[in-house]
Amino acid sequence: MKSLYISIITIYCVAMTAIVNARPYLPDNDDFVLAVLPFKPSQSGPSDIDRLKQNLKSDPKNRLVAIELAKRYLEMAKQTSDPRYYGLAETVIKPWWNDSADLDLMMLKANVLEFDHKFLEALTVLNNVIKIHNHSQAILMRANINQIIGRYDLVKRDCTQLISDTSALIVASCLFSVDGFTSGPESTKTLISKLRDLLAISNVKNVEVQLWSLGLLAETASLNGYWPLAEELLITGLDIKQDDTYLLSLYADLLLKQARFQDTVDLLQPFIEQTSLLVRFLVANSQMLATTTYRVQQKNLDMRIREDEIKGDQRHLREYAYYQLYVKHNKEIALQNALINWENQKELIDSLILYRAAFDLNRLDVLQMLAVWRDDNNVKIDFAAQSLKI
Amino acid sequence: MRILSLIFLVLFSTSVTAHKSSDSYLSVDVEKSEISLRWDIALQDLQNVMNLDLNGDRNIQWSELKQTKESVFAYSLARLQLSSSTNQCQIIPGNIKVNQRSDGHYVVLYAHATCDVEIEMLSIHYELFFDVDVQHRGLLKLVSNGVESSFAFSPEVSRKSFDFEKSYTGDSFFRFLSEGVWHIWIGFDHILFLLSLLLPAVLFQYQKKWQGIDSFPYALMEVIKIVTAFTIAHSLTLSLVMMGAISLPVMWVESVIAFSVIIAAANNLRPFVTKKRWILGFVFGLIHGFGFANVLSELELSNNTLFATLLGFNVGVELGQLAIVLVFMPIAYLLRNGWFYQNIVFKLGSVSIASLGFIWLIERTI
Repeated sequence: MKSLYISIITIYCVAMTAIVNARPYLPDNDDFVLAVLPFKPSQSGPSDIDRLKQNLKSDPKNRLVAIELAKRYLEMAKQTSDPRYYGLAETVIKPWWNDSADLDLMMLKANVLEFDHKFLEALTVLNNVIKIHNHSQAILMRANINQIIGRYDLVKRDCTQLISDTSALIVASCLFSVDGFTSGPESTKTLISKLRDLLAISNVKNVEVQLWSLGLLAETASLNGYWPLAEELLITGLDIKQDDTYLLSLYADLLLKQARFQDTVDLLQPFIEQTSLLVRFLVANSQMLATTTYRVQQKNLDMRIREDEIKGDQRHLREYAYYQLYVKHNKEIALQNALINWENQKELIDSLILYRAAFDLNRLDVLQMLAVWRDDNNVKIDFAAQSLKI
Repeated sequence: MRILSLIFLVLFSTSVTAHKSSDSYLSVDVEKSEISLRWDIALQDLQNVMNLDLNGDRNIQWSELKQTKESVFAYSLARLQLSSSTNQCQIIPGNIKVNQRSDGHYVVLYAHATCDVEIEMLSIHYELFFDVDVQHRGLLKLVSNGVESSFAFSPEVSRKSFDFEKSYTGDSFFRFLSEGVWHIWIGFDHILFLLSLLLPAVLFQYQKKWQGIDSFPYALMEVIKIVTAFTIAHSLTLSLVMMGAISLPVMWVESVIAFSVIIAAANNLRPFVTKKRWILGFVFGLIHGFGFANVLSELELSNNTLFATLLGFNVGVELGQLAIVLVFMPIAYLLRNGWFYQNIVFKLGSVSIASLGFIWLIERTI
C-alpha cells in the first residue's frame, strides 16, 4: 500500500511539473525561425503590399491607393486563410466607409461586412451597388449571401440575372446551390450529373470557380444520401487544393456521418488551426481513445470560445454549437448557440446542427420552426437522416 | 468575362473566418503600488507595423527579434497607458521571451510599472494596432489579490477602469472550493456510490447474516479507508485530466460512473468484495475523477491559477464528502443493530441505489 501511495504522489508531482514547463521560453539558438512570412522574395505579394502601404502613408487621402491596398489584403486573406487581412482592409478604407458612390469601395465594404457575418448590412450595400451599377459581381455576391441566410427565392432571382453576363458554369452552379436542396433525391441525381458534365467541358480555368462547383456538388450529393459520389467529388476537389477549408469540412462531415473517425482525424490533423476543422477533429477524437493532443486541442478551443465570449464575437457560433453538441454534450448550450447562429445564417449545416440539438432536447417549438422554414423554402433534405447522430 | 477576375473575393468569403483573428494578450498583475506586466503580441501583427525581418529572407529569427527588442518595446508601450486614481504609472521594459500559440509565435514582453501610491483604481488605455487594424482586440487578464478580471479592448472601447475594492470577493482557491462542495452535493451519482460503500461499514457478515459492529473505531477506520482511497483516486485522475495528460470520452466516463453505482450497491446485496472495499472505492474513484474533470472543464479556468483551482476544487469535494460522512456515521452506528437499518436502509436502500444506477446507465448509453 505504501508503494502505491508513493507511486501516486510521484505521478502527481511529475504531472504538476509538466504544467509549470508549459510557459514562454527562450529559443536555444539565434537562428531559430519564429515565423515564416507569407511569401518568399521571389514571389509577388507582400512587396506589392509594402509599396502600396508606403504610398498611402505618404498620401493618406489617396483613395485609389487605399482601394488597391485593400484589394491586395483581401486577396491575401483568401490565399492565406488569415482573417487578419480583413481588419487591415477595413482600416485602410475606413475614411471612405460611407462613400456609396464608389463601386470598388462598396464591393470591398460588402466583403468586409460579409466576413464579419453582418449579412444584412452587406446586402444593403450590395442592393445599392446593383441599383446604381447593375454589377455582375455584386449580383453573384448577393446570391451567395442570400444562400447563407436561407433566402432561396432571392438566390434564384440573382442567379437568373447573371445569365447574360457570365459563364454557363457559374450560372448553373449558382442555380444548383438552391436546386440541389429543393428538388428531392431523384431529380438531384440528374442535376448533379448535368453539372458534372458542364464542369468537365467548361473552359472556365478559374480554380475558385471549379472548387465552388465541386463543393456544391459534393455537399448536395452528401445531403441527398449519395455518399460514395460525394466522396469522389471531394477527393477530386482536394486534389486541386488540398487545404481548402470548405471542402475539408464537407469531407469531415461526410466521414463522421459514416462513423469513420480515424479517417476524419487523419484528414484534418494538418489543418486544425482552422476552428471549423478543429471542431470536427475533436468530434472524431471524442469517439476514440483520446490522446494528449486531443486534450490539448480541446483546451485550445475552450480558450478560443472563452476569448470570443469576452470579445462578444459571435462569428463562430456554428462551430461552437457543433462542439458543444458532439464533444462536450452540453445540449442546452449547443441549442442556445445554434439558435443564435440560425438567426443570422441558415446554411444547411446550420439547420442540421440546430435540428439535432432541438431533437435531443425534445424542443418541439424549435423543430416546428425548422419545419416551417423548410416548407417555406421547399427544402427536400431529410434533417433527421442527414444530421450527425453520435 | 470580367466577373472571373475577382470572383474569388465574392465566393465563400465566410470560409476564412474560421482562423484566429488578431488579438494580443495583456496580463496585468497588481500588488499594492507595483504592477507586473506580461504582453503576448503576435509576430505577424508586429511585422505589419515594423520590420522584424532584418535580413529580408522572409523569416523572423530569434536573433532578429532580440535585435529589434527595444523598437518592439517602444512601439508597444507607447500604445499602453496605466494610471492610478492620482497619477500615470511609469512602465519600465524588461525581458522578452517567445510563446507558441495556435496562430504562430508571439513575442512575450515583460515589463514592470510603478504607480507611487497603492492602487485602488487602475485605468488602462490600450491603443495597440487600432490605427492599422480595427478588428484587432486586446484581451486583458487583470489579477489582483488572486482575483481575475477579463476584458477585451477594441477601437470603440479602448479605456477601462478597474476598482479593486469592489472586486476583492475571494480568490481562485475559495471560488473553486465552493464549486467542489456544490458539485459533490448535486452529484447524486458520486454521493450514492460513496454511500453504497459506506452502508456496510457499520456491519459485518456472519454466517451470511449481517450484524452490527461493536467497535466504533473499527467502523470509523473502515470509513476512513474507503473515503481516502476514493479521494486519492479521483484526485489523481482529476489532476491528470485537467493537465491534459489523459482523457476519456465523456459518454464513456458517465456510463462507467453509473455502472460503478450499480456494482457498489450490488456488492451490498450479493457481496463479492467483502474485506477490502476500499479497493472498489479506489478503482471506481479513478473514473469518478474523470467525471469531476468534466465539470471543472466547464468552468472558467486560468493556467496561472490551475494549481489553486485544482486544490480548491479537490478540497471542496472532500469537504462535501466529509459532511456526508459526519452525518452518516453517527446515525448508521446508532441504528446498525436494528431491523430498520439492516432491512430498509441497507438492503432496500442498496436495491434502490442499484436501480437508479441502472436507469442512469441506460440513459447515458442510449
